[in-house]
This record gives sequence, C-alpha cells and structure tokens, in this order.
Amino acid sequence: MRSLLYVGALCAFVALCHRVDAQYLPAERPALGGGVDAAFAPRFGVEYALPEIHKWYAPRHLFETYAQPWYAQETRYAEGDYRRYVAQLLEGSEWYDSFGSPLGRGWLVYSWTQTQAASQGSVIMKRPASPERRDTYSSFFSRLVIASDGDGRGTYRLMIGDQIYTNFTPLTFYKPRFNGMRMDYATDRLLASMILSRPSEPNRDSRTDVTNLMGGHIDVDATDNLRFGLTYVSAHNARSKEDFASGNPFAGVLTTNQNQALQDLWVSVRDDSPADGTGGPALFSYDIVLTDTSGSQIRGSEIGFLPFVEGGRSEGSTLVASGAERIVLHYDLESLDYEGINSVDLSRARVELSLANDYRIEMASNLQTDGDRSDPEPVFLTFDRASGNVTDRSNGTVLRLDYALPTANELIGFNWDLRDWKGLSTMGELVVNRRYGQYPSPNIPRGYRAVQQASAAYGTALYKRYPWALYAEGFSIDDSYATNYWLTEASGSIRYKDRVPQLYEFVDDDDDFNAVPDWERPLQPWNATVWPGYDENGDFIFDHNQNLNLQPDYDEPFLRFRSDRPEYLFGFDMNHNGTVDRFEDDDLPDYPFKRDLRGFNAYLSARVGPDMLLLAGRQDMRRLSGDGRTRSWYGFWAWSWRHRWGLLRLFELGKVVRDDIPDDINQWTQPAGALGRMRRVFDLLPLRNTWQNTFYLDFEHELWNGTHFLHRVKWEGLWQRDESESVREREGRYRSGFLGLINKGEWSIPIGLAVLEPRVKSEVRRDRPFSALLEETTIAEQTLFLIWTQPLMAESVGVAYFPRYGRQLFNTQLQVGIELSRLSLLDGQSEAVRESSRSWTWVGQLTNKVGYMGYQLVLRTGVRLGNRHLDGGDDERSSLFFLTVNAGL
Amino acid sequence: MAPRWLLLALCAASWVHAQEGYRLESNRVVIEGADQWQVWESPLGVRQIDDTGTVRPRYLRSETNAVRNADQFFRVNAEEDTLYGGVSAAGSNVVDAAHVIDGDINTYWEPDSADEVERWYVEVDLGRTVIAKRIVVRFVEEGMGDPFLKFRVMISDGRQAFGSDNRRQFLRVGQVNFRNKDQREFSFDVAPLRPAPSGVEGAVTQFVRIDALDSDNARGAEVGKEEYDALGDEDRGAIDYFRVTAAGREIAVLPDTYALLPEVDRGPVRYYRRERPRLAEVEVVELGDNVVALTQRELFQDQTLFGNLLRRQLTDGLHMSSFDLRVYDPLKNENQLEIDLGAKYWLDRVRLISPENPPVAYQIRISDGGLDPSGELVWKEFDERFNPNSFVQLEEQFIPQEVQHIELRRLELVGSTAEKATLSEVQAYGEGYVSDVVMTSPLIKLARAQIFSSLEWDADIPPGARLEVRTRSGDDIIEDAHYYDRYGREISEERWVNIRNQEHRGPVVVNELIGPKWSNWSELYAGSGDAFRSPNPRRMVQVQARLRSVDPLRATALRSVQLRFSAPLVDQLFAEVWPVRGIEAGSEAEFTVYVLPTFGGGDPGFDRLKVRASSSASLQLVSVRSGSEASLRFGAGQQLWPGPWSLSAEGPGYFELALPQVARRGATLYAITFRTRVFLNSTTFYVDLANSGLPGTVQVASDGDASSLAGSQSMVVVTDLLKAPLLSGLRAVPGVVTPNGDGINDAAQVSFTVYRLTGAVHFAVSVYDLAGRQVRDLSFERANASGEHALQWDGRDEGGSVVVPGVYVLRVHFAADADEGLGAAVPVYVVY
Repeated sequence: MRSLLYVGALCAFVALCHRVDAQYLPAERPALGGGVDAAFAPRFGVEYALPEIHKWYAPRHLFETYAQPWYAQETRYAEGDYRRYVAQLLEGSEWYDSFGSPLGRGWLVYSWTQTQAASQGSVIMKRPASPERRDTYSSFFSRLVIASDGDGRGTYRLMIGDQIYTNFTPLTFYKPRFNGMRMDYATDRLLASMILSRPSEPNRDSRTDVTNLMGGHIDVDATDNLRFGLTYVSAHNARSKEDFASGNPFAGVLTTNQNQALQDLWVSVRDDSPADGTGGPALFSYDIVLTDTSGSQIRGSEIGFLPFVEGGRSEGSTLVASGAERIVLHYDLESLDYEGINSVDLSRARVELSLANDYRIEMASNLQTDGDRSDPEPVFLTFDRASGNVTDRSNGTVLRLDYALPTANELIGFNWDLRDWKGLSTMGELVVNRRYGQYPSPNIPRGYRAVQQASAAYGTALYKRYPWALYAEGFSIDDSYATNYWLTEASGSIRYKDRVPQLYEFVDDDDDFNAVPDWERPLQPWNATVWPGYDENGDFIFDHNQNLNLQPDYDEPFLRFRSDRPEYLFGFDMNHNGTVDRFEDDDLPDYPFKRDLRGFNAYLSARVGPDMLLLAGRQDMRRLSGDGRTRSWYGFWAWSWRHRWGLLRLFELGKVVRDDIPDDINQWTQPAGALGRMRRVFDLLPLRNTWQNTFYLDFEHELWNGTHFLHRVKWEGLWQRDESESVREREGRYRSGFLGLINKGEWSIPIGLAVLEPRVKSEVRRDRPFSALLEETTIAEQTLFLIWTQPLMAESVGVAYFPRYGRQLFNTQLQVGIELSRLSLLDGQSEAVRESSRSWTWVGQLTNKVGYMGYQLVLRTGVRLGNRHLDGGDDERSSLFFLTVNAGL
Repeated sequence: MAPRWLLLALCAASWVHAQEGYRLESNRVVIEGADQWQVWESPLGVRQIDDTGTVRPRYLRSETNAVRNADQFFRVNAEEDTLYGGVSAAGSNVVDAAHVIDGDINTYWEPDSADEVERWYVEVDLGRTVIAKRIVVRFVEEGMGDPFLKFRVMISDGRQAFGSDNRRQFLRVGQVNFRNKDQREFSFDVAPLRPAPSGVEGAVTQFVRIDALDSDNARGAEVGKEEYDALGDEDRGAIDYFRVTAAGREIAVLPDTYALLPEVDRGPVRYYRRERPRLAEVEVVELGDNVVALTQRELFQDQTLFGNLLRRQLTDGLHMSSFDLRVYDPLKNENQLEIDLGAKYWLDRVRLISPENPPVAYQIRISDGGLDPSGELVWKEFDERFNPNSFVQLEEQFIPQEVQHIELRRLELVGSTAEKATLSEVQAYGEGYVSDVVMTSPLIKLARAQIFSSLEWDADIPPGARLEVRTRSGDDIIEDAHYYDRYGREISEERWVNIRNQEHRGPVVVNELIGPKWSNWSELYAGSGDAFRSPNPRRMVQVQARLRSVDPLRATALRSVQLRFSAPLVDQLFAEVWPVRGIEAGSEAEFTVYVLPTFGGGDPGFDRLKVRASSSASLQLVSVRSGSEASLRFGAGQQLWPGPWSLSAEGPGYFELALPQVARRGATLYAITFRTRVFLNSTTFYVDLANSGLPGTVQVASDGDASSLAGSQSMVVVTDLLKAPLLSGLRAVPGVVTPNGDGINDAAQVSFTVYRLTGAVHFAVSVYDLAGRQVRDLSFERANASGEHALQWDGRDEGGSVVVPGVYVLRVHFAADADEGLGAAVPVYVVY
C-alpha cells in the first residue's frame, strides 16, 4: 500500500513537472526528444514545481533572459568595463536524449522528427522558437553540421547541410546543392553514402503530408582496378497520420488531399508526332474495368458505362486523330451511382485501349490538377507512348493502363568501372526506374498500386594498344526514364502544373558546372544565367565574364585583349546543332547521354609520335519515341608542335553528317547596345545532310623578353548535300560557315619601378550563318592599348589579388591606360554589330592592398571615360567612377 | 390560290430554317443561301459569303481600295456614339458628299458655289487604321464637269491634337498648286510620314481629306454667245466686257460703261460657263487587308473585362487607341502578346504601329498551328530586333507562309523603368485564301429518326484546293443553361433564382450540346453523292465542311449541301457480338451476333440481313436462330438457317441472308452464329438490314444491349496480339520438290500468316539459290494484308525452266513501320 502511495505521489509529481515544463518551454521545442515517455523525462529543480502565479519570480539566470533583464538585480552594466556577461558554458539550454540522459547545455541546431501516426508528425527545425530564437544552424554553422568517427577499419562522416555537393552516378543522383542529411562511410575497399531529406520542405515546418527522399550508393573495389557500385534512390509521399507499419514506405502513399474519391477520369489519345500532321493514333476500341473494394470487377461496356468521347474522327469503326487532333474519353465515375456503384468504393480503374500507330496516352482526373483552389484545371500526364512513328498500324496492340496518382519514384542502379586491364578500360551504368502510383480509394487502407518501369543504360570502353586506341560508347535511355518526383504541399495536394515545376530533381541541370542548378525548382537555389563550358580556370566564374558584370569581357575595354570570342574556340559538336557541346546549355538533367536516344559512337585513333593524333569514327543514334536519327562519319587530326620559336597547335576535323534530331539550347546573347540575356536557340538542323570541316590553328611565341604574341585562326565550313531547293525551303544556305583570325601581341617595358605595356589586337571574322534569315557579316577590329603602371610608396611587396588583369606587385600603385579601337563592318549586319565605329577609352585607377583583421583588402578607386563614334554620326559617351573594396584570404 | 396565312406561315418557316442554318424538305435537308451559311460556325473572319450564297475562304487582299468597305467598320467614341466609316465631314453640299466613295465615276460631289472655297472640303473616315500607299483622286469625265482648280490631299492617323479643340492633325500628302483645268485623275504616292526603316511602305491613315484651294467659280470656261444662251441659269457664268485701246489693249469695263462706249472702242464680250468642280471618286490604296483586326476586333470588344484591354487596344484596328507593353519575362514566359488568328492565313509581314515611345527591342514569332510532341506550338522565331531610332512603324517581313499564331515579345534594352513601349496596333498582311476553313453546321433536327442515305454538295473545286466533308449523328442533346445578370455577367443558377426582382435578372441562354451517344465525326466523304457515313438511323445530324487550299490563289467555292434521307426499315436496331475478348489470333473461333430489331408502326421492315467484318477473313455461317432470350439461352428457338432463310451471297469478310418474306413486326431476337479467324487487334462486325423493295436503303445496326446473352454491347472483338510478329508461320509443303510433272510433289505450297496490318501491302516473295541469286520472283499484292496467304513454287525460274537440283531459299518480305518480323525465309529442296 505504501509503495502504491509512493508510486502515485511520484506520478503526480512527474505529471506536475511535465505541466510546468509545458508552460515554460515553447511547445515547439522537443526538449524530451520525439515520442519519449514523460516518465523518463529529466527531473527539474523543485522551484519550478511551486504553484506560483507569477512564475517569472522563479529564479532565472542572466544568460537565459539577458535580452529582457527586467527582473535582474544588477542592471547597471554601463558602470563596469566591457565584459561578456554570460559565461559561454552557461549559454543555451539543457538538452536530453531519448533515455533522459543530459546532452549538455547548448542550443538546438537541427531537428528532424517524424512521428507516426500523428497529425503534423513530420517536423524539421533549423531555427527553433526557443526563448533566444537563435538561428544557430545558419549563423554559427553556416548551414553545415558534421559529425564523424572512425577506427582502424573505416570512418564515417555524417553531414547535415543545405548545400552538400552530392553525386552518386550520372544517371541516378547529382545535386550540387543537396539539402538534407548525408552519411558517408569508407573502408579500404568500400565507399558508401546514404542520404535522407524531406524535399517538400527541407528547411522548416511541421507537416502531415510530405515528400521524403532516401537514397544510398555503395562502391566496392573487387580488385585493384575493378569497381562495382549499387545505387538506390527513392522519393515518395509519406503521411504521418498513417501507421508506419502499413506497407512498403518506398512505394509511397497518397497524400490526404489526393486520397479522395475519383469523380472524373479523362483519357487522351493524341498524335505523338503531331508535326507531320498524319499517321496519328488509330483507336479501335476502348473500355474501362473497375474493381471495387470487395474485389469485384466491373467492365464498363457490360453495364453501359461508356465514356463521353470528344475529338477525333471516324474511319470505319476506328477513331483516328492526327496532328493537333486529340481524342478524349471522359468517364464520369459519379454517374456510376445509377448502377448502384459508389465511386468511393472503387479500388482500381484500368483503361483498355486497342490502338495502333503513333499514339501518346495521357490521363487526367479531378485529383490530378494544377492545384488552383477556385478553378482547378485537370493536368494530363503521359502514361504511354508508341515507339517510333508508325503510320501503317503495324504496331497494333491492346494497352491496359491502370490509372494511378503518383506516390513514389525509385531508381535501382548498378555501375561498374574497370581501369586499364590489359589496355582495356570500361565503365557504365544500368538503372531501372520504377514509378509507383496508387488508385485513390479512401475507404480501404490502400487502393490498387500500379508500377511503371523504364530503364537507362550506357557503357563506354577504351582499348589501348599503342599507338592504336579503340573507343566505343553505347547508350539507351527510355523516354519515360524519370529522375524527379512531385513535391507535396502542406495541404497534402500536389500541383501537377505550375510555372515552376513542383518537382524534386535527383539529377540537376548544371551545364556550367558552377554547382548551382540551372533550372528553377522549388526550395533550392538556381541561376538563370548559364555559360556552359567557359570556365576553363575552374573558378566558378564564366571565363568571358570574370568581372561578373553580365557583359562579356571581349566586349569590354581593356579586358578584350585577354578574352577572345567563343566563336574562335575549338570543340566537338556531336549533336550537330552548330554549337560546341561543352558550350551548350539545355533544360535537361545532366545525364551523360540524352534521354529518348539509343545509339553508339566509336572511333579508332592512332598516335603518330607524341604530338600527333589521327582519329576516325562513326556515330549512329536514333530517337526511341519518334522519328529522328543521327549518323555521322568523322575524321580528326590534332598536332601540337613545340619549338624554340613557340607553340603551335592545329586541329582539323572533317565529318559527314545526317542529323534530324533537334537539340535546342539556351545561349547567352549580347545584342548591340542592349542588355545581354539568355535566349532559346532552336536547332535548325544545319547538318541534316551535310559535309562539315573545321580547321583550327593557334601559335604562341615571343620575339624577345617581355613580349608575347598569339595568332589564332579558325575556319569552319558546311556544305549541304541535299538539293539546293530543299535547303532553300528550310530557309537555309547551301554553304555556310565561319572564318576568324586573331593576331595579338603585348610588350612589357619596365621603366624604373613603373611598367609600360603597349598591346595590340587585330581581329577579323566572317560569319555566314546557315539560316538564310540572318545576314552574312564580315567584321574587322583593330585595337591598341597602352597601360602605364606606377607604384606609389613602394616599400613593401604585397600579394597579387587579381593576377589575371594586371600586375599588382606593390601595395599602392597608380595605373593609367588608354585604348583606341576601330571596328569596321565590312559586309552585312549582325545582331551584335549594326554599324562601323571607332572608340577610345581612358582609365585611371589607384589600387591599394592592405591586411585588415586577418583579411587581405584590395581597394580600388578610379574613373573610366569612353567615347564611341558610330559611322552613322552618333556618339556614345560613357563614364564610370568606381570605389571598391574586396576582401580575401 | 393559297390562303394568305399559309403563305405567311411558309415564309415564317423558311425564315426560321434560315436562322437554323438549313432547310428541311420531305426527303432531304438542304443548306444553301447566304442566310443559312451565316449560321454555320467558323472562326471569325475566315470565310466570305457572296450574294449568290456561295461560301469561300476569305481572300486576304493586297493593295486594295480602303474606302470601298469603310462603312463596314465602326468605332465607339468617348461619348459612346457609334461612328461608322464613310464620309465623316463635308464643308459644303453635305448631301452629295457620299458619292466620292461610292465607286461610281458618274456620281460626284460638287461643292456649293455659294459657299466660300475654304468650305470646299470633304473628309473620309476609313473606319479603321490602314497603311495607305497611294491616294487617287478622280474628277468627273470631261463634259460632266470640271476638276478642282487647285486642291490638296491630306491624311490623318486619327489621333487628335492635345488641346481644347481636340482637332485632328492632318498632314499633306499631295497638292495641285497650278491651275488645273484638264487633268481629271491624280495619284499621290504616300510615304511614311515619320521616319521609318527602309522597306517600310505607306503611312498610317484613318482619315483622308480633300481641300479645294481655289476656283474659277463663275468663269469656269469661256463659251460662245450662242452656247451661253443655251446654258441653263445655273451654268451661266460671268460675261466680261472689254474696251479696246488704240494700242489694242483690252480693258475690262462694266456693262453700263460698255454700252456708253463708241463702237470703235468696244472690245469683245466674253461669255463664261460657270465652273462645275465635281469630285467623283477618292481611292485610298492600302497595303492590304489587316488580318489581325479582321479576326480579333470582335473577340475583345467586351469593355468590362480588363483582361481584354491590352488585346483590344492592339487589335481593334484603330491607331488612336494604344497600350504600353510590358517587358517579356523569359523565365516566367509571360507578358508576351499572342494572337490566334483562328485559321491559317498566307502572310508575309507583321507590322507594329506605335503613336510614340515605340519598343526599342522586340521579337516576333509566328506559328502555323503545328504542335511538337509535347503538345506545344511549334514557333518560327525571328531575330531579336532593335529600334534605336525609335521608328514608330516597324515591320517583320518574311517569305509568304501560312500563319495562325503571332507572338510579340517586348524585350528589355537597358533595363530602365523609364523605358516604354507603347503600341497602338499589331497588323499582319499577306495575300491569298485562308488555307484551312472549318465550318460546322448547327444541329440539324428531324422530327423522327431517319436513314440518311447520301450526302451531296455543289461546289467548284479548282486544282490546288480541296473540300472535305464529314458528318456525325445522334439522338440526344444536352441543354446547357447559362444565367446572366442585368449587366450581362454570367452568374450561377442559384444566384439568378435568388434575384427577387425579376427585372434585375438577365437572360438565360440555353446552349444545345451534343449528347454522349453521338457518333464521332465520320471519315471524309469521297465525293458528292457518297453514301452517308455516320450511324443510322438518327434524329439529328451535323455536317462539317472544310475548305482547304494548297495554292494560296485557289479556293473551293461551296454553294450547297444536301442530305437525303428516308424512313428507317425498323424503328430501332441493336446488335452485339459475343465473345469479344480472349480470342486467340489466327485460330478459328465461333462468334454469335445477337440482333434485336424493334418495329414501329408503318416500318417497311427488312428481307435481307448481311453480316460483314472489318477484316477479309472468311465468315462461315453456322446457324441462325430466333426466339426469346430464354429460348435462345437453352438452345431452343426457331432455326432459320439452315431452314427458311437462305444464304444469298458470301465473300471475303461477309455473308448475306435472304428472308422468305419481309419482317415487319414482332420483337424477335436473332442469334447468328458463324466461325472466323481474327488477325487484327480489333475486328469489327456489322449487321446491315435491307429491303429488296427499297433498293439503296441500308440500315446498319447500332452497338447496344441486344441481349443479355451477350455482355459486350459492342460489335468489336479485341484480340491482344501482344508481341506477336507481323509475319509468322512461313512454311513450304512439301519441303522437297520434284518438278518432273508426275503430279507428285511437283510444287511447294508456301503459306504464311500476317497479323495486325490493314490496307494493301505488297509482299515481296523471291526464291534465291545458295549463291544469293534470285531465280524466281513470286511477289504479289493484297488489298487486305492480314490473314493467311498461300502461293506455290513449281521449281522453275523466271524463264519457266526447271531449276537445277539443289537447295533454294524462299524469302518473304514486306514493308511495315514496326520493325519486328518483317522478313522470313524457308528452304526448299529441289530434287529430280
């Protein structure tokens, strides 16, 4: 009996403690850890348990309330010297683990808990609403927290961060700014990573319906030069109200708003290649098979449940739709009430379509919308597409498509990497993509779960036997291969259509490799200005815009000496759209090969001495979902010759190409006198049936000490092999190409401590675009520079801060420069150059470098004056005053 | 003589049908005449209907006279007055001023001679903004009057000067500043009045004003006395008297003075005809028809919708209204102006007109309406254009091509908020017929379901043009009611009902929509008089005519369409087949078609019943029975074949049964059982009823619930061919041929089966020797490719000689888009 009383008193005491604790601590602060029974909670001082009304009379500590010290005894802080009032060891609050053991005093930096079954059970906090509201995670830890440990066998590292560079394999996971938790483990022969994230809102908030991401990658070294890898990535919906034990969590569940009775189902059948205007789908028959929660099957045609058919036209007993036409079958599931069937009781709906030709099947429903609250618009998602562009009905089939709302997307991958085994190196990847969906059925735990599958694979191999080398690559990536998943909103709904696609991308688009995605997606940083491939020095800054002013350096005074236009550079264009591949920016995930393509590329190369390479190759690839094929033969000669006179490099590339796969890109354009901008550049298929030759040569040398000269030539020619009439119809030119020549030289003349630098640059370019709508232009440009650098107070030597743009050896120096330029538009007119002009620019600047608080400060101040006289008579004058300070280490 | 009320009723009925878009006669539906074509739906402005009732695609004209149709354009001014184009002002003789734009050189406007010359002006309002290239002024022919002695031609773009009087600004484009007595036609070229890029023609014009500057008035022309005396009072001009000096000089004197002069001093007396300044015609030759205003003006007239404001201002055809374009946002892909012309027009230029602050950078895209695989429009994008000179007329020229969508993007040049882009009009010009006009009839309703037998039309279809006609039919309609408040805003039914004061309720507009049981649009009719291609019998039908032109200068002219109909053989006819699933492809299976005719009073009935299939596989009739569902279910019922019914015809894919007498009554269910094989994914069966007494009338059974013995309600048998190849089962029997003429194994019977393919296919069948040489070509063609095919090879080469003994390879190959199983080969041994 006594023991019972004791236990009762103890329980009452604990309960009281808990109540007071609840009053004192902010409700959001998970002081006791998620889901821990209060009986195991830590004990608090008895003073907290007193029945005080004015609980602020309870003893406090300065460190807990120093922001409002209205109760403190000592408030005359001004009387003393400056001191830190709070001992660091006393800052923060006391925290406890799940067993009630104290973790130490401090702050809650990051917390992610998922409690099931509970409403708003998924909680992420990076800025807890504690009394001090300290954003410790971002302010102290710069959004990155790392824990690690290891022993003699291996080490692991656990990171929580907003911008963790994470890369599994190119087909499965690449996020330069991964937001979530990542744990890496490594031994001598094993490398493993695991990631966890809540992409639907990784930064804060409590949610019932969330999108979770879980993934892992492991690489095992089977031998010294052979490595195998496995990857698993899954993004799926989770609902914290649901019991954790109910089913495979990686298959996902329908969110609260999605798991409602389906009222309307639309099935759209349309032409998958509408541009040709013919050969669209032929729909022979259609039916729907419904399954109710008891397992009974109901065939629509047998009970007279027929769709309302819109669009298309009859050809005999067949419905056809070509070009822009579309056949839409509308099933009004609510009308099943007449048959005594309640749509709430359905657990599966399967559409059967007997059809042929080039079809694309899309489905929509009242639950699959753009999420607009007042007038939601159904959004059609593709469920199936015909392979190729069949027009003679020879691919007739019966499709059985289960309607399902997406619940998860899963990738299972295998990769290998063999390095130099008897001259053979090979690597590749095979990935299976499984997309889970579920029929909304609120009356049972789970409606029918459908799975769609796609695959992607590639392999590359190189066999070297000096002087020969054989390289081959093969690839096949299904059009439906998807490495993204929908983001769940707080309301539990999903917006299937939005200006910003509500998708979480496993593989981001980062064509400029600046570690910032190029496309806009929710809750992640991105940049719209993309200069792919122009960052040769790897500083994450476009080489042609080192001063980050959104004006290419080759168009800026003085800077233009170092920066040559991209047109003069050499590179391969294996998709034959007229732009060097490494300079391309698209809106696609950064897979190693493009989606919807299957093909190969192989070449045989031979080295003739150490400086010369000869190569011949063959490429063949085709689109999987429709028309489009690329075939090419190519030959390449590279020669590098270093001599006491200088360094000469030569590239010669010839190819014959048949390409009708468009590869549109985004490209930075700099119109004359206007803001530069990213612009969509459509592939006009300049190499549809074409000979192409590209010749490039550059030569660097010195005439005497202090001089440096560069000569660069690039000539590219395209000859169409189609009939000239056909080329004209495409508004193309039969012959097109580019010829460019650059000569530039500089001389550094020391005069005392000062330096005089005369420079000269001559540039000629002739551009004859393939598009006949664009003018053929010939431009010559001569520029003379003269720069005087005068050190002031030259007593000490500092560190060069901007070595790329000038000599800065002294702490203070004065620089004066003048640039004289003459641009002659010899023929035609281009977007960037409208008329001939001559210009002068004068710059004077004072530079100072000094150490400050451990940083190296560089201060620049000066003025730039410019004048450009257009031959048309106009003058453009400009002036710039600047005073800037940069800090570096 | 018909009573008057009957005539009135007939007239009223005719009017009603004209309003409905068709005329109903005893056995046909006729669509003809402008009134009926007007009711047919088509995108705005794409067609033209002339006075004879012929409908054609709109012809987009180039270099037209803008005054001729000025009265078809109107605008609403600030006082909400509706102002139509035409003669908008005349300083004198207002009554006759309209003659200057009536196109008749014999009618004219003559200012009142009593008015001051300053009032001798006429002003023509073109009703819309045009690009005037030339203005032609014509005076009456000689003998009918005089030209203006001096005059000038001025134009205005419609904008009014800022100030209290709000007067329009006119700028002179031509002037005759010499004394013109003879020239009667003047043509003044009009150049852009403000600086424009090279190649941009014409000036923005809405008003044209002709001002007379001088007149000889009473001394129009000197005439003799006799002629003067013969003139009417209104034409008699001045009489001048002259005194002659000794030196022979003539000095004008007053008549009284002249009378007092001695004879020797009297000089001549000169008689004048009064000047008759008569302006006959004013022509304004414009760049052409501006298709943007033609098609968009009416779409965005609703002033209450703010969203229409931008589009209305830029497409209303009026330079006097303008709007500031926002900068195009490439990331959000918004703020662009997209114009859907509703159909494809042959265009060669898009022009932008601005009153001031024109866009400094812009881009234009056009599309013919083609889509990419993702369903988005395929655009043709022109280069970004810059306008550093602030030209107020800008133009994008391109080779003539079909255009349905135009998109304008204003681009940012310097990124300053002070940068404006004001536009008043987006115009598009070209020449040629609209290349694709789709016109849809209203619902054509008959009193009861009828069998439509044929469709005829009367049209001129030149080479390079096409007429595509299709139909759809049905019995049910859905009434879709729309409720409006008194301000014309659409509201919910509940809200409409809750408006207590009925005067505050707006109209209820009920749209009739086709019901779910309507057929889809049929395939195209091959020619006029073609058999009706939609399900029959039906109570309602809809016709769609598509006028297509490949050549921009040629177009179809459609005058009339007729639909012939007759009474149905039976009131209702449903059929369904069983089984419809689970059929093994290529294997013979037994099917039963259940046919349920329901007779109405007076139905002519049927005595022929035909079952046909969409494939060419033979149908082997097994039995025909009739009776109730219950009796058929248990295998009872009356046996009709073999029995009283006879097999009157059969062939590939069909058989026809003849009844001993016409069936006119009863509610009998027929069960027709036959065997066939299916080679297609989907095989459709049809049941046709005919009456030998009514040749040409065929009633096709509708898919439906004919019997509970079949659960399909369908006549389509679906066979899942899965991954079956297109070609299979190639074999040669016997494999060893001995072509020695003994009748034993002299030839190899070759057979193979083709699946999935429909339509005609050429089968390339060749025999090769082991060296790869072709020794015999056995290729053939089949209209229906799917099914079993057989041929034989007699061991002989092309020359008819027996091949040498050995092994040969017989290969079958044919073309198909799907690339699996296209070719197969089988060895054949020749021994002798």
